[in-house]
Amino acid sequence: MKIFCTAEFEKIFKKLSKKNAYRDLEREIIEYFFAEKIDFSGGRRLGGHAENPYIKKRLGGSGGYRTYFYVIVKDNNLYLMFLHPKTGPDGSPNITDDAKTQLLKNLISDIKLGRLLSVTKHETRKQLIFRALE
Amino acid sequence: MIATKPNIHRLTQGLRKAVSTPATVKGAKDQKDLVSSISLAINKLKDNLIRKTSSARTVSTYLAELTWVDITDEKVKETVVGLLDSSQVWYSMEQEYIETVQPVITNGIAAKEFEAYKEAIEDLGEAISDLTSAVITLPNSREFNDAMEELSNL
Repeated sequence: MKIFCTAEFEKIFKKLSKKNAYRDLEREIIEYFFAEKIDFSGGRRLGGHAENPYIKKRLGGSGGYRTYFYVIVKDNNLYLMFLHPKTGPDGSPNITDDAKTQLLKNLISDIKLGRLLSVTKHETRKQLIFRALE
Repeated sequence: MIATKPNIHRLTQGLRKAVSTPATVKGAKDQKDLVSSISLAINKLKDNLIRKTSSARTVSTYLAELTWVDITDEKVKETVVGLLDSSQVWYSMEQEYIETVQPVITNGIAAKEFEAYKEAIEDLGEAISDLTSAVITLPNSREFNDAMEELSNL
């Protein structure tokens, strides 16, 4: 499965990963989204069908910080649209349904304008690499 | 000089006499019973919180799983809406319980169990909100459906 992300996702990720409180964020993304087979069953499907689900997935657990990811799976591609921590210094409450719709629109816009980024992991498995699509 | 041998003897005797009265013995027993009752109440509170945490987690998991069910039948939708209503009522009651118990917890009693319980209830609230979005609000949003449609056609 190829992984892409919106410009907004990259921006938020880079901001959060600099903070000590979210130092495990990159590792968690790699472990979950770059696993051989991603198990979405623990996530919640907010829309779409089985082939192109719009999913809200939580990473992190009790004791530590919790982060929510909003992703779409389509044609064996995974699109990371948005993330927000629920806890920690940048913790924020759930996003509204309007915001969830806006995330979709932003994704569509990024696809159309060629702003989408490909996300891969470095061979050491410790770092994410964001590249603009050619 | 108070600390002479006869004085110490007299004081010891007096003290022994004082602490061995039936009232003192009864007082000590009452204290012991009180501590025992408090311990029992604390354990009961802990057990209650653990039980509630487990139930909330189970319900949250079920609600999350329901988001993966394709609801094409109106009757199924009604059932899910009913489940959401019941879950919401339960969630509100648990929030009231949190407010009731909070002052006791502030004193450090059952703090660990309470934290886990509070987190489980918070997750329950999110699970309710997500299922509501998935089954009720987003499917009824023309903007959302149009965007999903547009994306699938790209």
